Amino acid sequence: MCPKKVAHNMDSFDEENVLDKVHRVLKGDAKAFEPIVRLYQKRIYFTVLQIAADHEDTNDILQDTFIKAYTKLYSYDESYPFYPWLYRIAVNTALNHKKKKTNLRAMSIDEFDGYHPNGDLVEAPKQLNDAVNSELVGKLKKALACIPDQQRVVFVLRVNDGLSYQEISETLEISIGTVMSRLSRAREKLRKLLKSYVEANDTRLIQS
Amino acid sequence: MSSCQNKIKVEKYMDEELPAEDKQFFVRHLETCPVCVAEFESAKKLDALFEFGVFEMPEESYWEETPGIIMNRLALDRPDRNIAKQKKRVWVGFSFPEWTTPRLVAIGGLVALLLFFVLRPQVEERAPGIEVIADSMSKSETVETAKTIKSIELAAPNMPEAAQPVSKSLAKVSEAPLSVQVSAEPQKVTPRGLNTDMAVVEESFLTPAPNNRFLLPEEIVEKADKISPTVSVLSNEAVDGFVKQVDPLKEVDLPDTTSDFLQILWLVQKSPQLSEKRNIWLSYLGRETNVTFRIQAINNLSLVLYKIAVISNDFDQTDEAIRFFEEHEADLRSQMKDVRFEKRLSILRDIMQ
Repeated sequence: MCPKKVAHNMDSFDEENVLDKVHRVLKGDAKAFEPIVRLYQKRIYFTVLQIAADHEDTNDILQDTFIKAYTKLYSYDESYPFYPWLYRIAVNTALNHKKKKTNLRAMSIDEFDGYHPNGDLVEAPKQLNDAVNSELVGKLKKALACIPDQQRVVFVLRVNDGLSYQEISETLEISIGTVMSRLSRAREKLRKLLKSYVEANDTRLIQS
Repeated sequence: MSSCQNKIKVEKYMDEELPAEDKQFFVRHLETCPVCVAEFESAKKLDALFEFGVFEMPEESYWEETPGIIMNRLALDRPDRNIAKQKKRVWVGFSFPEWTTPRLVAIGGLVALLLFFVLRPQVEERAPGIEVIADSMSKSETVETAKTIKSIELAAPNMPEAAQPVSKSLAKVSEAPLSVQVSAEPQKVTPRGLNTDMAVVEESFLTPAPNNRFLLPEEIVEKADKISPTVSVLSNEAVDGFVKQVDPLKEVDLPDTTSDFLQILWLVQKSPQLSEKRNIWLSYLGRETNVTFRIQAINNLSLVLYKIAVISNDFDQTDEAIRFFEEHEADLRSQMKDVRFEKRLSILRDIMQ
């Protein structure tokens, strides 16, 4: 579990360290890439998982992300932090992966109540793992599956990763207006689907 | 939930995207508005539900194994892969493979230039002085329409009903007989017809808003007061799009022209002063411009209304945009080919998804 928001900016120690590794890879030391994978794999996995909602897909996307990053490393501009560059590759890889999976479609809102979670979906997070919350986690997964990919990605980048509208706009290469529109629509749909939870006065779940 | 005009700011406030002055105002507003407080609490709860993710991360062993798998894949994909070999040289902002030399690049550039002049396709002839602007028109459509504008002049019947609704005007236009007039000279769209409706829109109004966004409704209303409905007379051109007349001897660089025009069209529809005028004479960057407000404009207008709704986060206006589109569906279908209509409709639906 990744119980904290993903910081989009690295601290200076990590950044210098990574830059050193990048230089070594560019000079031909391929093994120097492995520590970069180790450093970022959890963050990337966490974000991709919220988009892909499937462990196997997430695993594929994670591997593809690092392979793309390696092969495109020469195009990385060192005057910018490394993580946002890698992060953008991951999000775009996840989006492309979703597009290719034509057999999977976003579940419509009408199907919400009768939907049974995909067997591939991984289990509930630990902090929500008690009997009361397992039902909620199931509902949250279903609700996320109900909204279109494009809206879900914006929602995940904002709510899970804490990116600003500007950062989302740059990551997905869409206008800020589109970011706001998709985010607003995602929230609107989720709120309708989770009405009983969102309007409940009980805040235990939120504070856990 | 009942309504409050500031409800649209809740999300931005929660996302810390409100400008400082708006934020101060909104914090004060929250103290007195139960509608916004309820909206804020609900939105906050929703985000909190998802904040930490809803899917469990893999076991620790996964993180141990994955880097090795990735490194193996890298080695297996191309055993001789050496990233250093792919490193590029960068000269004057362009990147080249490392094996290139300045002489090679220069020779390559010369050869490419030579080939370009020898093999370049003939540029399709288009009417000088006329440029068609429509955000959803393809280049060939644009050129085709420009030719149409050049060669067809509508023998417009007397149309004293300048104040009739747009849809009625359009119906009338579709019935109007056409006469053909060919001219090789750059043609100014000759003011003809019978009404004296014309608006001069000031250059300052046309300046794109910051961040290339559309103007918000209140901003447009504010600027509407500055428009002087003076002069002129224009015939109703049988053109499916916007027509812009420019000086053929000068290059025109209007990077966000479509937005400008769509803003104007939106304004035309909204402004009581201008709502009944179909043809607008504009001044842009010192050049006179004729915009023919016709069926495609109506189509695009519905998109603009929607975009404005998105930007202002006021989705009540979305309904207005949809209604507007539906109201004119018959006219749209009669004026456009069905395929084009369906294409537009699908764009509209995609945006509204």
